[in-house]
Amino acid sequence: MSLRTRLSAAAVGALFAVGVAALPAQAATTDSGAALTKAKAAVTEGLTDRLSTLADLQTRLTAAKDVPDTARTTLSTLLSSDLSALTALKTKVAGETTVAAVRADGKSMVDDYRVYLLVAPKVHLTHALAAETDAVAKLTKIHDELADRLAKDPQADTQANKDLLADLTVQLKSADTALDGREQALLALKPSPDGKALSDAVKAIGGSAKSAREDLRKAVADAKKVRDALKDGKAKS
Amino acid sequence: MKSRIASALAVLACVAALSACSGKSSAGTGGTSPAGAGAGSSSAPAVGAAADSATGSGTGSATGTSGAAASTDSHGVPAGPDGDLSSLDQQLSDIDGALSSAEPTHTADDNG
Repeated sequence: MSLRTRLSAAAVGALFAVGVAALPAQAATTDSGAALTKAKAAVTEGLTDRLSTLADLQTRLTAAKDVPDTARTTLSTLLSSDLSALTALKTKVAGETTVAAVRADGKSMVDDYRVYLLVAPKVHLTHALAAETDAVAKLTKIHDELADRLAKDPQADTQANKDLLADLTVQLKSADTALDGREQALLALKPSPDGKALSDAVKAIGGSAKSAREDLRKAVADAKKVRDALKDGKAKS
Repeated sequence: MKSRIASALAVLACVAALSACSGKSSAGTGGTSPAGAGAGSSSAPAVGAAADSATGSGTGSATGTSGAAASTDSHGVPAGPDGDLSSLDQQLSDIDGALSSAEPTHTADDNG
C-alpha cells in the first residue's frame, strides 16, 4: 500500500471517527428540543385546564347563595389569586429554555396551588357545609312548630309522633356535631407537596359533610311523618 | 163658599207639602247627612260588601285563605286548607332541594 493510499485511508477513518463522535451530540440536541417542546405542551395543558377549572369555580361560588360572606370573601380571594398566578406561570413556561425549568414550573403548578386536590373541594364543600348548617337551623324551627301543633292536636299527639320528634332532635344534634368547625378547618388548609396528607384532610371533612347530610335527611323524613299525621288528623276531624 | 174652597186648597197644599217633605226625607237623609248614612244600618252592609270585594277577597286569594278560614280551628291551629301545613311542606321541600345541591359534584383529585 502506497503512502498516498495509506493517507487516504487514514483521512477517511478520521472523518468517520469524527462523524460517529458527532452523531450522539447532534442526536442529544434534537432530543432536547423535542423534549422541551413536549414538556412545555404538557405543563401548558395542565395550566389551561386549571385556569378553566378556577373560572368554573368562580361561577359556582357566585351561584351558591348560601355561602356565608366571610367564607365567600376567602374563596373569592383565593380563586382570583390562583388565576393570576397560574396565568403568569403559563407565560413563564412559554419562555423557558430548558426541560428542567419547565419541570420545575410543572411541580409548582401542582404543589403550590393544588387546584384539583384542594381548591375545588374547598368551593364545593364550603357550599355543602353552608347548606347543611342552614338546614339544621330550619329543621330546628320546624321541629318546634311541629311540637307546638302536636300539643294542640290530641288526635296527632301520639307517642309515635313524639318519638319521631325526639329522633328528629337526635339527628339535628348529630348533624350539628358533624358540621362543627369543619368550614374553618377546610378554609385553613394550604397547598403543599404532601398530596396524600391534603387528600386525607379534605376527605375527612367531606366525610363529615356526608354524615351530616344523612342525619339531615333522616330528620326531614321524621318531620314529614309528623306532618302527615297532622294532616290525617285534620282530615278525620 | 170661597172660604171653604180656600180651606180645602190649604189642606191640599199642606198634604202635598207634607208628602213632598216625606219623600225628601227618605231620599235626602243619606245625601245630606253622611254621618247619619254611615251609621245607618241600610248603608253599612253595602260599604262592608264593597270593602270585602275590594280588599277582602284579594287578601284571601293571596294568602290562600278566605277571611273566615283565616281564623283558628278548635285546636288553636291556623285553619288554612291544611291548617297551614302547606307552608311546612314547602319548607321541607326546600330543605330537600338544598341537601341535594350539597351533594358533592367533585371528588378530590389526586392529580393535584
